[in-house]
Amino acid sequence: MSSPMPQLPPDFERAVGGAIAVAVSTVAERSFFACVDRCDQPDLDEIEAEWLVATVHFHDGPVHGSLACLLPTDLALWLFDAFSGRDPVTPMPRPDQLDDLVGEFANMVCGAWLTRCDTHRVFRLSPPSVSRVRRPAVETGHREWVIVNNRPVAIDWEVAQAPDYTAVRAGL
Amino acid sequence: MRILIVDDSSMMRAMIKRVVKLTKVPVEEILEASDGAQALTLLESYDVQLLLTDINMPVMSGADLLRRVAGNDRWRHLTRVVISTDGSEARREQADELSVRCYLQKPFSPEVLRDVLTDAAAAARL
Repeated sequence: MSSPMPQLPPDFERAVGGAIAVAVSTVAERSFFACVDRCDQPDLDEIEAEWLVATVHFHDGPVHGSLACLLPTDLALWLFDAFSGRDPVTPMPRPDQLDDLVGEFANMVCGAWLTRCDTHRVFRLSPPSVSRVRRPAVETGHREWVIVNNRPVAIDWEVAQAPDYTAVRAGL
Repeated sequence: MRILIVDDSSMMRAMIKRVVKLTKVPVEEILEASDGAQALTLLESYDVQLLLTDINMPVMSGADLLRRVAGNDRWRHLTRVVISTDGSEARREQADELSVRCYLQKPFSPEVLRDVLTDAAAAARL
């Protein structure tokens, strides 16, 4: 994620954070049968796995921005099995299949969040882009942490729009 | 019955296929496309009874695909289902105008998808 958005009022940031956490819960519980908890700042030193970063850009006319889900590979594998019904004796998913899975996860989180924000507008989502990092970069913008099946997941988000408009669209 | 699944996520297509196989719907063939343009090509070549499509896709969106389908008499009897992350009222109204039988918002449970598929398949066989 690129630059911080200092123009956003704190109330709006809190509201977006809450709405995104609700969206993650909805997606993780409904489609992946996972448990989700809120969390402030997890201890990342205990995570040895590589992280996957799935980014979706959205655009609905007056509002545009992005949402990125950052999750450790071992959690991504668990989500893959839950979503696909993979038998543990079958081969592990290929990297491109795992990318597709976390991309779809981010896509669903972003869609659930935006739908909650404003049910009277249609929006466009970009195809997800997925990359791998050793560990999440230091937060430079807006970040929410949640715990999914006891593993940390970060959601980085950006919204570009005048505060007086976005404040009514926080999703709460 | 022949089913066409249109989604740019291969994982989502695989998941939908898996649920289709869990239903008692008699399926002759399941076709797959990763965007609206590919779907149109398949619709031109195959006699499809049930179309399951995402909305946000590269190349050609599901909304554009549904407009093309609605505008062609040949596909008048094609039963259409939308499966999308966009659950807005505005998008649902748009879908209604394009004769979509059911609008399913992601995320959904497999049970909900099964029920939608069973209903849509029954309509497609009529």
